[in-house]
Amino acid sequence: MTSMGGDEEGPDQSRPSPTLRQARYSRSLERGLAILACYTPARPMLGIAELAEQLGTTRSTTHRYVSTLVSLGYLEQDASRKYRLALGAIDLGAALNATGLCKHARPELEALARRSCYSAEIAVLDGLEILLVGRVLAGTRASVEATLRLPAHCTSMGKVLLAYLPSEQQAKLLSEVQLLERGPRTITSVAALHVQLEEVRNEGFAIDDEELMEGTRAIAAPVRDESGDAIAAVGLVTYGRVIEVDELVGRFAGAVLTTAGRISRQIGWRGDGE
Amino acid sequence: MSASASASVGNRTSRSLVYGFTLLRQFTVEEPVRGIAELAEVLNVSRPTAHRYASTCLELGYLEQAPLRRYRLARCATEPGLAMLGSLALVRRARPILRELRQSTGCTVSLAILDGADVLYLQRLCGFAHGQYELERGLGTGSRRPAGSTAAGKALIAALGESEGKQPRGIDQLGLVLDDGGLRREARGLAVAIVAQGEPTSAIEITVPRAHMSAEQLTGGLGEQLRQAAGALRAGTDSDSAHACVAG
Repeated sequence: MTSMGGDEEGPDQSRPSPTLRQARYSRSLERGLAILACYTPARPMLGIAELAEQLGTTRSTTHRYVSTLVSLGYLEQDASRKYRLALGAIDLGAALNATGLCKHARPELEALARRSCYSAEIAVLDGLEILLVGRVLAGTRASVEATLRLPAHCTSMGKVLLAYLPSEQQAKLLSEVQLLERGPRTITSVAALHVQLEEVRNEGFAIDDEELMEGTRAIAAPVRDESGDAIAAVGLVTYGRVIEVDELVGRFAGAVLTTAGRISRQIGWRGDGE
Repeated sequence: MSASASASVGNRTSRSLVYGFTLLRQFTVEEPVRGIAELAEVLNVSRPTAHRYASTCLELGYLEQAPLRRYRLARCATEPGLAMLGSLALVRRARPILRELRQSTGCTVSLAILDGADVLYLQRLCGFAHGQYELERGLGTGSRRPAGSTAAGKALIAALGESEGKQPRGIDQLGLVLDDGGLRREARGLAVAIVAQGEPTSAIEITVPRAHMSAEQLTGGLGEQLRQAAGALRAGTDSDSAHACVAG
């Protein structure tokens, strides 16, 4: 078993670690990760000199880290002798991509629920229904990987997801949907639902005003993936706690939109800088 | 030091980097949450050493704390992969094509390449039709599967054989390749390879729930849309095939 007393370093060891003491921090690992972070779609090729300058390390030290990253499959050298990210870089976070939306969304949902004192949820469209894939209940820190199904037409998250469908797909679903009455204000006419979906696209968020059940209101906004499509919706749901629609929108629309934007960026959306 | 880590260590190699990245690689779909004791055991280092690397990853946003003083991957871990994908001309060109294919079909669509014996999904856009989301659990952009267990892998292997003068197997007259339950028991896939300069560079795949669509419905109903998407991607792929298929 290996027990390394100190971190191996290049000649320029004076740069302090961010917050942790040296004994609990590997500066070499920090620099290796920093090298990978230098690469962006706008700067896909970098030479040793450029990396050394950006990291504030000597060329010799940088070269050693780069050689290690090449041997590990995270970087590769091209014909110009510069380095670019290799396919191994994709593997680094692949497990996180595969763990689903709930993992990406959890911290943001927790923050939204904590600030608002209402339940924060995330759902995807699954045909005519929504599939609730994550939920943080009001007053708790517990996040639930729920798989609850609800009708899309009478939930704020469902209306967001229907609203942002391509028009052909939206028309197809609306021609198939049975608008069953679930709450005192469920929309039961396709024409009325169509008008409301237009409003959702204009406003950027959707409201459920006792459409799913009496006493429950909700507000939701779209989560976009790297393609820009709305692939999920974040909702704030009151579950019987009294609040009027105007107050719900006035107090929480901004927070819900911000939460949805943050989750979107985590899953690769590089959109309009909302 | 573990076998995988020690094999990489040479004179011009940073041992700390090897340990740190080997630690990060232990967080997988199957084992997404890890504690210090098991990380130390896998890396064959002391617990304080494993703790130091985990603390560094935690501080830098590559890991986050899970319950019971364990760790899991955090959002920074995905950034090198996103940067890598964003730099590939093939991926940039494929994005709007895949997006349109998803929008018109409602199904999960993906772009894949061969990487050794695996298929590597450079993009997976999850569909919104009934049953699609649940099929995606454990998959996603960056996931790998044995090539022979996926429609995309079978299409690429067939096209590779054809480029070497072999008789292609499992491929229909239109170039479509079907997979029934290989990627996932509940899934059915249809793929077509993109061939540029005589070599297969990538494949586009559609995945559907087997319970909701028969093989005939998939091939007959969506095969032409898949072929059109592949044709759009094929146009102009020649210039970026080298980097995209570096490991193929």
